[in-house]
Amino acid sequence: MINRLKRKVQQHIYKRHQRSEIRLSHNNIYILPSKDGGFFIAVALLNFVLGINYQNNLILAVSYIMAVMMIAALFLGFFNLNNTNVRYLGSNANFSPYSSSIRLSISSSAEIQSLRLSSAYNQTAIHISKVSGEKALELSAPELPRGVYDTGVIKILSYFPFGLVRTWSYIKPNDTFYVYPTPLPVIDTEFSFGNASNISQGIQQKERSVEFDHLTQYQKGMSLSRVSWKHYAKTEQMLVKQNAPESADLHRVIFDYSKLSGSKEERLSKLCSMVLDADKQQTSYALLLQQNRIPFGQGEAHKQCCLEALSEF
Amino acid sequence: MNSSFPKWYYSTSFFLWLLSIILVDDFGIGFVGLCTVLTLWQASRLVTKPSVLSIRFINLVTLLGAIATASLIGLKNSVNVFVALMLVASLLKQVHATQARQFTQICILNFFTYPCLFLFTQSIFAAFLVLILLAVNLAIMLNLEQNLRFKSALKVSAKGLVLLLPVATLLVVFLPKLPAFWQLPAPQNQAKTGLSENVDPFNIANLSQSSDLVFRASFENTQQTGPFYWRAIIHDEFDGRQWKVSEYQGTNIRALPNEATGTATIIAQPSQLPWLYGLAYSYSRSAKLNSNVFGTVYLKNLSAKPVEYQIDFTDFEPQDSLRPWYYNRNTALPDDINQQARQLARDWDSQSTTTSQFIELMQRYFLQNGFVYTLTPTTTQSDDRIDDFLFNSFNGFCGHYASAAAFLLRSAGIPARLVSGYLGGEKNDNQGYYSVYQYDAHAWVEYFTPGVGWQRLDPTAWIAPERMTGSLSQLEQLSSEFKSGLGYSLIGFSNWQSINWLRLQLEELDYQWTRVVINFDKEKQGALFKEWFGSNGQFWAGIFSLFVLFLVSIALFYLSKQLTRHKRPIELVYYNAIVSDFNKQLSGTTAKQHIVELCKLLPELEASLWRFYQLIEKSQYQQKPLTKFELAELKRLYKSIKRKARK
Repeated sequence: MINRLKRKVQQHIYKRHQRSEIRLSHNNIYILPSKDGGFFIAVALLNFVLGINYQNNLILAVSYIMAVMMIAALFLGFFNLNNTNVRYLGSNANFSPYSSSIRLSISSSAEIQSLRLSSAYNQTAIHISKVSGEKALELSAPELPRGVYDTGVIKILSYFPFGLVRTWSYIKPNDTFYVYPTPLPVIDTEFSFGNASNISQGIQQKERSVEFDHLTQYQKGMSLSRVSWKHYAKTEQMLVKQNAPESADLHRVIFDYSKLSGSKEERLSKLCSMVLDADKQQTSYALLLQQNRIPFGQGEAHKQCCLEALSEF
Repeated sequence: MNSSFPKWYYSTSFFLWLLSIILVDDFGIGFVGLCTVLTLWQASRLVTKPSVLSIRFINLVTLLGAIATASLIGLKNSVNVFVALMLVASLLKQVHATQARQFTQICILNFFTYPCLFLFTQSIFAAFLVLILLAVNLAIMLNLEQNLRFKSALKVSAKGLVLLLPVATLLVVFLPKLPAFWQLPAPQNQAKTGLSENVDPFNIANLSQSSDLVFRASFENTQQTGPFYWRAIIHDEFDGRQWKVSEYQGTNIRALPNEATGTATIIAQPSQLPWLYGLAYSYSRSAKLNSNVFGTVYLKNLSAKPVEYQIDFTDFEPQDSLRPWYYNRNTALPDDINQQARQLARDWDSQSTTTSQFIELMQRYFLQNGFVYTLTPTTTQSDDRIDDFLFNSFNGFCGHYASAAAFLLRSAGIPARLVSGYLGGEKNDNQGYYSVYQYDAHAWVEYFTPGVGWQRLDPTAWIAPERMTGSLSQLEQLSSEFKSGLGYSLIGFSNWQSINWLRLQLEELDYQWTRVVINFDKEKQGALFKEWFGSNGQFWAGIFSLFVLFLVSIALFYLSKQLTRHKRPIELVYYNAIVSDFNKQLSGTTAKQHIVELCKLLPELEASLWRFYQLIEKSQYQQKPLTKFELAELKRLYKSIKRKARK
């Protein structure tokens, strides 16, 4: 009953923060004494009772100082967050179990002290001791299984100035972020591409592709994934693997979910690594995920589209 | 141990240890030892950085600490044990604190532990000390959230506390004083001052001299002249060794006398006995006090803080005779002791016809036999102590003279009793009050004459007449003997003018502090409200205090707004103010582009605009602070540009 009520109130509050940019002000900042603040109030009350009962003005004065401190803490906490602009910048996807991240920008004309940011996906809030001007930051969402996730509620919290009050607000950008499947190397030979004529070649080519043809000097803009790190570790020279030209019909490959073996997640993981490999080889590839078909394509956008489809599946 | 916390966080341990030292008289040296061990433990852990202690180990140590504390102090002193346990708990919590949150909790707990000092002493120094400790405490709390340096954190917290202090003072003055909710046990104070209920001078080899304050007195309206004999305890039973406090010391009078010859306000320091100080025949109308049949007053309940009270005093009423049982009580002596003294008294009795003649003979005896006033008398264990004193040693202090005189009077059938209290007082000329110290303690005799009543007789005055005027501290003759017994205290240096001046200033400050701050109670508050707000004082004061609270909140609101506002350099404020006027007409992104565009818009201002930009560039891009002269120029330029731009 209480939990339901709590959830309802929370939903109502979140609704007011459903924006990708929010300016914190008196109608969206919440302030309550923290747990330590409650302890502090209890001590102040204890001092008050002691001061009254012993007719001790000095103890009484301490309890009043504490009361005024508490009020001052409420105000200071409020003005610390007031007029802060929080903007949702987007998200960075990553392969499970590496952490994806939610990007935010925080800006204020004043200096903000001791800020803690947390989302539904990170246990420990990141703590920023000071923000002056504008600051971009990333909230990581580690150890998530493959999938599409709602960005959810991001909490902006501060215990400034004495840790006695918690001042907080939310931002709930209406967005999602992706966690791609863990790439799994394909070792089974049972699977077949949709195009029956080049099944065996496809596999052979795939396996042979590890054997690169020659190395060339790394140039800016080249994909880092093609750098021969082994070579780099030995000679500290950045060399890029250049693969042998592939046969013409291998430039079009279809990756079909239903033709793969293993559990659903395994199959998706395999598809993921196939997509990555194909992209590395600059092959044109299509993805068949039962009803969902992604036509032939190439390049970064196409790869991302395929990976997202894999995450969504 | 987590070494990521600044070392000064651990100053709390040192402060708690300091508190235990200050309270050594109340807690005992054993407890200070315990605190010292714990503090040293903390210090060694700070140096060696060992591993985190396990919870189980800490719990065990806590339990042992609690048992040790309770056994060192004794469970009977509930308040003392409680405060001591708080100290030990805080010390131990400090030892195993590893997380920021634990430090916060310690700091919050300190807001309770530090003021506990006020339960034992409310001196201005204690208040000052606690204020400093709280400032450091607050600095730690600030730092836990903000990572400042020690100096700046302390500066911020000290500033904050100093700002809060007047607010708290206002609240103490104006928030209506509530009556005590329930009776709490008072801390058992180890008062250093006070008298003894039984006077046994012959056992004392060296009269302990303490310069501790006993009470302060001020007279209202009347100019009183000394000597002031402050009566406190009546001793009317002599058992051969000591004069015991009268059984009737706690018997109250039924009706107070009508007319008083004077009124005095007295602030008495806490003592272990309820008996307070009065002049001549004193009585009090205060609700805290009782007035007894001897004309002295006493407390209904012992207090751990200074007690302020008013007495009215008057002369002793003439009395024709004493009731037989009372006559017997005041002439009773144990048999078979001090035969020589009895014989002497009988001789004088036969030589005299009146009591005053008898006293004259006694005075002549003391003066002719070379009696000496000393603070280090010869001790005796014999049964005939008074004989020893009168016929052998011839030296002693007030207790010896009073004891012997009362014995001689009683031997002759003259009712007599011993009175102990204080004599004299040091006058503060600025404020007109008298300070009476422990070394002013005195004993004298009261004897009864039919038709006249009770009269005072101070045999010590025959030997040391200077003793009657002023305080013992002002007595030249005895000064070296007196000072050697004092140990270290400022009064020991009263020959040095500057130190004496300092002592008197501190004394006066303490007087005001005690009167105004410590003893500001419901009564005084009521009187203050009446004076300020008229007859409906309570009501208006309530309204006013609400108003004060409201004002305080408003002030806090604006103050915190001010504090959190980013202080932008004035150059940028000027720049933004100028640019904002032309926001729509400007398309550039840098300051320089803006200035170029502004020059096109306002060609007549080109020179000043460029000079303006030069200055901004210097301070903002080259990071060179502007001189006073340049700042003034900048302001001038800003004003002229703004003025012309508006046209």
